[in-house]
Amino acid sequence: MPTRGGIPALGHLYRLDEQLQSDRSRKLDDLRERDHAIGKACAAGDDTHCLLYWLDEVNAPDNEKATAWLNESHAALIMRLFAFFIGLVAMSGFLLASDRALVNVFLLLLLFVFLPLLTSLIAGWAIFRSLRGSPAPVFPLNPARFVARYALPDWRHLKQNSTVVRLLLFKYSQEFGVLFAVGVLISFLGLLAFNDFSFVWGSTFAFSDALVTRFSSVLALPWSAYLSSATVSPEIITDTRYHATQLDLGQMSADSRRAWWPFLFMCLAVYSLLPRLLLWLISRRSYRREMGRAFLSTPGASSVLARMQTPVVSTQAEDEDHVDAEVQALVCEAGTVLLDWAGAMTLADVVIEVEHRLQAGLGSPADDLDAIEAINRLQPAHLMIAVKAWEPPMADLADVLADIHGVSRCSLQLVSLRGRELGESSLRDWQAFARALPIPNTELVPLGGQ
Amino acid sequence: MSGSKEEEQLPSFAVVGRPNKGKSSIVATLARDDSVHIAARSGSTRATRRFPLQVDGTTLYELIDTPGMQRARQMLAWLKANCSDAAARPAAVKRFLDEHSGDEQFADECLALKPIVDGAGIIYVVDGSVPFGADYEAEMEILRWTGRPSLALVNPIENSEYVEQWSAGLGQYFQTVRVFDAHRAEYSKQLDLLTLFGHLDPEWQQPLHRAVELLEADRYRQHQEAAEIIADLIYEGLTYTVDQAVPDGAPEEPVRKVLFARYQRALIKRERESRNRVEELFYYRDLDKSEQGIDFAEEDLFHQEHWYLWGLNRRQLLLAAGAAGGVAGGGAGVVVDGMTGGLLGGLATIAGGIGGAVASTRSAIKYSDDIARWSVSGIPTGGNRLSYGPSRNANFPFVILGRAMQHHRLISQRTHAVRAPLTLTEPALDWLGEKERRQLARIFDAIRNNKRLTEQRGELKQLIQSWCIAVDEA
Repeated sequence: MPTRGGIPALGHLYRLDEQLQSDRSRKLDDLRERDHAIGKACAAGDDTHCLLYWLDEVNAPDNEKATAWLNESHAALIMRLFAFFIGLVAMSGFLLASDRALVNVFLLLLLFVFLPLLTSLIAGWAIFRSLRGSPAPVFPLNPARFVARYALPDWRHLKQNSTVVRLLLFKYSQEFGVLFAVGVLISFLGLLAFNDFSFVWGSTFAFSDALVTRFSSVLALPWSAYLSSATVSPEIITDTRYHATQLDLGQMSADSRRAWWPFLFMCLAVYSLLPRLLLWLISRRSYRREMGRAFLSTPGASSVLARMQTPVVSTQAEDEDHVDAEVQALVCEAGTVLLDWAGAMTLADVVIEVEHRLQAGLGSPADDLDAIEAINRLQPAHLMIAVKAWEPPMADLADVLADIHGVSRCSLQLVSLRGRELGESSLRDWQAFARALPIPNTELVPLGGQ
Repeated sequence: MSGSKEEEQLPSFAVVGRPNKGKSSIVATLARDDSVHIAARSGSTRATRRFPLQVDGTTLYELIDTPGMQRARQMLAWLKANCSDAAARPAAVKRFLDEHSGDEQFADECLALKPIVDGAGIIYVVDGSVPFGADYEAEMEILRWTGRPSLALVNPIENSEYVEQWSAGLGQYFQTVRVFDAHRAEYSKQLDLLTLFGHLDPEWQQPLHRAVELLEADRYRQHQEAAEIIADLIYEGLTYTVDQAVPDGAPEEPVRKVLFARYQRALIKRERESRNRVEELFYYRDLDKSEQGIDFAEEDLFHQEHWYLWGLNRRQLLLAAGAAGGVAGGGAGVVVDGMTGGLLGGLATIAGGIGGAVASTRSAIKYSDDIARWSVSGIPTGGNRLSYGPSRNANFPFVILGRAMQHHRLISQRTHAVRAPLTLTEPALDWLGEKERRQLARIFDAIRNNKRLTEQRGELKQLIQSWCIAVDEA
């Protein structure tokens, strides 16, 4: 994942989060030693660079993904070219649509000035909301989503970083908007150079010349003071009024028909390109700032920095204690622990002799956690789980067993109801359940009932 | 100790005294090591054990736990019989050790005095809850004979009834006498004691001063990390949800039960993980503790039902349908525009796009429920998605915070000599001011509503960190 100017990318956030999650299960002593050793080797001056250095040391980026042909930068390049091309084609198509080289000024303004301006205003509002901490929804067909798909290392949603993801989408969509506007402008100028277009105006609404004059003056306000050539005079407006039934344009002077283009060019530049450009710069800057902040505030990141900067201080004894007291055996000789799920063993006519008998599935979830913790502490060579075979395997049990680790062998003791045999479908259900368990070597053992 | 010259100059302190007077407790507290075996019966320490303070692998000083001296009078008698010159007393002690090194009778005395003869300072420990007796004078005299710098610590194991008596008695043999309760000493007092060790020998002052500085920095880091762990726990408590798709027609009640249990289990597990992490942070390896689980009320949990079709919720489905209709309608409009040679100026495209979007959205609203009942290869395409959490109870994050802060306070104020289980009672947040409560409520509310998460988390962490640090200053 590229790092431009030492600013972390979205991939760094995911890698950092992934690493910090996996560090949660590691011993703190190991983390202190590892992080401080990295900290001593790190020459970076600020926290962001220190953390980036640390991340590269403990979780190097996946080169295979980074060198994949269609990555974020390639996807962005494709979309940039596409946006530029669409801009060129849209304006070309519009200008060349009429076989008489007629261009309706109102339609041009509507499609290439007001519509982009409206979308810029909406985008500005969405960016503002995101910066205020309430990320706005992104339109499903936003082309920036295509790039974001390659920017996100996986589909895991980092809830706490939704603002960053939104700003990434805004950054790309504003960039595409800028390129679209540039394409429109280039196409406009390029075609004007080689064609003699007639810029006219007309509407089914009865707009007066004075109204259109006032309208054009208002539009030209930002530049009229120092670029009078890019304004439209009342005479030109009167002269270029057009009716659909008007087949002969001979009465319009050629100069009047062409006189609109500097005004239209400035409208395109000021109302279409400029807002996009500003939004792009704002979203780009905001994205970088928010990314830096989100990177440093990833849960656990400040602890990493503290460990990097603080020397590893150890005051404990290096050797084991010399206690002459008897060590209490925690597991039975056979190294077996029995977990009685939902009181299944109360109905079994088989007594299982084990030193450690645990209960779960009846009390509160806290009781279940106690049982899991005991199993994880004991790490038995063989874990027996007594279950009611007549009941279907429940997700509740699967959730509990998912937290067990360090057990090499497990057997599901299927306790049947008295006088009833274990049904085939029940057995199949339990077999499927056993296969899905995260414990390797899980077997099914049918037990007789009372 | 190694024989290199550099290491020989390292300060080391042998903790000596009679059996069962709290030597191991003092070592456990100063070394922040709960693996030290502390037994109620006497003579449980049968060998010396070294506790070096190491910084990045470099040792600054060393504490040495020794077995209790049991035959001091016999040893003193031997010393007096074999030495008449006051200047030769240290040599006499050394000679005693050489001659009795393999002697089972004086094994404890040899083990206790060996580090002192090798250059360690003496930390003599007595129990302030029992009276001073002349029978102690033999061991004090032996320690004086070694000629090493020394200080005495009165450890009031059960009470302080005889502390004054001890202070007076010890003052005749030791230049410095201090009362130090290994079970209740605050962290600042532990550091004061280490500073005092440094004053025993001018050469030890600098390394001990540095050790104290490093321990202070380490303590600050502990609070810093603990604050982050607690802030993360609260954040997860405020945002955690579980959900499950229920295909159309399937009963919801069993799923609700499983989801509720899953929600509770996940948060309880997360809380326990954070407790264990904080204990590990403060160097507790095997702490026995009891804490009542959080009481979850099902009605407090934000329970929602989301309709879904092909993995999309209703809003997403309508947006997708509208967009697809818009594209299709707009495409048809483009064709019409093309056929009219541009005379319509793109109006057909706009009208087609809008019309397509409206028609498609309307159809999605009308028929989505019917489509949701279809099944592909036996798998229903739609139904309800049930979810539990996050908790809506305004008090819930305060409960998590109160429990975590109580645990942190007890852990950071506890010494490693204490072997009683850590009991966490119903926490009270009465130490929290009204202003801080309001600030917290605002932060919790913002996190719940997914607003300015980065800032809110940072603010929460800073608040918690300040309270964690304040525990040491209280």
